[in-house]
Amino acid sequence: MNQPDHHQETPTMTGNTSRQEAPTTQAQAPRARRTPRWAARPSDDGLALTFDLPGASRGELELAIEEGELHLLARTTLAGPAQAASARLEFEPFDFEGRWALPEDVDADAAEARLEDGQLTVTIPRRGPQRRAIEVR
Amino acid sequence: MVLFDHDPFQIFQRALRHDAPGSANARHGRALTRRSTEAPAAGAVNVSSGDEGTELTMLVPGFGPAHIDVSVERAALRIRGERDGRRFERSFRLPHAVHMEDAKAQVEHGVLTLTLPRSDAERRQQVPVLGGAAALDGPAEIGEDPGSTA
Repeated sequence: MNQPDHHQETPTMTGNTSRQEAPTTQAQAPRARRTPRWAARPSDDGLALTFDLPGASRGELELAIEEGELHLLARTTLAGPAQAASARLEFEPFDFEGRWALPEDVDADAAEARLEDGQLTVTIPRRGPQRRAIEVR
Repeated sequence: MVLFDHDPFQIFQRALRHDAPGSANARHGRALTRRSTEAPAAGAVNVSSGDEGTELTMLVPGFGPAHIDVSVERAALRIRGERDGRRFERSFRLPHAVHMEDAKAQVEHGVLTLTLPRSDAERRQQVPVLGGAAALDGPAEIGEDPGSTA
């Protein structure tokens, strides 16, 4: 997997002036995909993962747990600058993608997710104790 | 109190390890999680200015309209946010004064968008040039008209 990802560094200046209405899937050049900034916080109930997903709405977010890995894909509304003369350019349009290996003692079936103001919180409870007493009659 | 056998931060390390060639992720043939492709931090901006004014886009994940304060004083722009102890502040010097009546600030899905039109006082505007006949027909609006004494 030594395929260069130089396309991610290519500025995508679409010259699209209607920034608000630009559909996210319209870009001709492939949009860069970035790993979201994230934090993990263990709680009494389980694990809470927080992901910064600015520009992502619920309908554009795919989230799944597969074989102990959390998969995230989110398309954003982020567009290039509206005017050609950029005084300051700190990011290019991008979508979010990432995968994270989860601890083995969490219950993926009971995971919950909430997206608010471009911030995703995934709560995964810890699996109950594996040892179970068997009643003898 | 230890709740997990795994340090939560090992999650990321495990993810990174999967990036190695021949790893499970590589076999899936998909883009891999790598540190170098991390998204820009909250607070990152794009600013573009032109004849019409300035457009600014700022990444503010976790902040809604109630948590963000935007103020303009002459050409000084200040953006502040605070929510649950998280706070940020960034200031910018605009290349122009702002026509406040048409200034707009909107935050949606954690992205703040500012539209700051250039002040009319600074905008270049054309003055219509009239011919001699029109100048004679029209009433003079500046200064005194010595010929108006009938």
